[in-house]
Amino acid sequence: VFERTLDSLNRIQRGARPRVATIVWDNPPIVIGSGSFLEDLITLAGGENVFADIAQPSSTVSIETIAGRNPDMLLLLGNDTAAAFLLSRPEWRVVRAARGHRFAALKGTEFSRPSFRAIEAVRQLESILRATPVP
Amino acid sequence: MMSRWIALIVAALAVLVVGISVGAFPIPPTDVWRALWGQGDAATVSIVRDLRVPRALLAFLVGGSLAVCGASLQAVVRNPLADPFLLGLSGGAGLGAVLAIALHLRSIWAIPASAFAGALVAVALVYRLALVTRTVLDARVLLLAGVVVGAFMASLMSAVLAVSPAAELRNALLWLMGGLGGASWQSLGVFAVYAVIPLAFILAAARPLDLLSLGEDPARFLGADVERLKRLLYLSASLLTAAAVAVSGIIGFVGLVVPHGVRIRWGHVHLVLLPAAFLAGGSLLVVADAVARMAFAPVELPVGVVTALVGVPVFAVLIRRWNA
Repeated sequence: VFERTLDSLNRIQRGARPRVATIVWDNPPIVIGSGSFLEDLITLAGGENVFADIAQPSSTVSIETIAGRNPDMLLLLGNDTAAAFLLSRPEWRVVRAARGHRFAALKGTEFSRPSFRAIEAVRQLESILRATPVP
Repeated sequence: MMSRWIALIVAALAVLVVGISVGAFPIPPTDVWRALWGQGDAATVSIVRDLRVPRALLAFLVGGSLAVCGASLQAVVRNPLADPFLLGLSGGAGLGAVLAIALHLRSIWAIPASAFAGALVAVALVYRLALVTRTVLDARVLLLAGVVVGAFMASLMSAVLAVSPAAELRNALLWLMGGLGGASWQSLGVFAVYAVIPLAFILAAARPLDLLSLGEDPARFLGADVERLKRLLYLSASLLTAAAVAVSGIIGFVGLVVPHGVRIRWGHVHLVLLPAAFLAGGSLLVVADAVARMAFAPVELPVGVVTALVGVPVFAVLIRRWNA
């Protein structure tokens, strides 16, 4: 069932893939690199990790680097209010997606460890990414 | 003498220009200059004005403060190994940061604030231990108390790390390794306002510090109020270092080596040593931060790693010349 559902998710590919930065920690800013569970989820959900060139599952970067990559959407681990508060800070408003309130909080444990609930995670991500405007 | 000062000030300004010019996002120097005055592309302007300028200024201020703290503490305890973090501060700050995570305090100020609180607890404990009688602050005991309290707090931190399941603890340790990634106009402003008073106290004590470095008894015979001086300097330097921890984590090496480097070139007179150490320490940290941002871009190194990598070779050269 898992494989089949995953396949069906794989088939809903769309034209433009929203470019996504996943922020797991704010100070120092830590983002998801390549080969991580979260990157796999994002790819399955039709997105593209802007930090796919970092050959580590997670890594410290600067806000400037995030702003330079100019992601269409920011995904933040943690709850909504923390995310909204973080992105309202002046130094984060340099990132265009933060200025445009294009962020989503990933709350559940389905995002933090691989399990059968990964499908649920991909579904949630997919609906977030479908609503993301791609320039 | 004057030309040395001009050279140091020019070097400091040049380093600040470099710090603002380089970054993970490539911006041509002319655009950086125009962005400083608010001209050009909005994204470039906000990167330069909201990220790079406060970051470079904070690096300068923190580096300068740590160097001044190190220089004054080395004179107070008359030990060349004295360092702003030796006196228990790093252990206290580490314990505070780790506790903030273990207790799930999640706000943007949670780790800095609790690291600051942890450092203050360490300062208070060391101060109390070193007051052997009600009136005498013993410099040797101060040094030992610093090491002991630091070790105690570091053990507590390890204990928390060992028993706490929180996955975010690694991030607290990364923060603690030192970095200026959290710099903003807000943190720069808070630190600048806070740093003025301890820095002024330390600089005002430049003359008595010269006497104190001769030894406590000679200083007393020459008319210095030694007890008051030691307390004032210890508390000023420690409170300033605690604030530096809150905005940038633990940045080692600057406070230890910059004062020695400056002494080798400029001599031991504190009225010269302290401002020169401020400029040199600030410059070193701005350079180190630029290297930390650029060396493995887009990945950022902890700046404390770089201060040692940049500073040790420079220091080795200085020692060689000094002996030659």
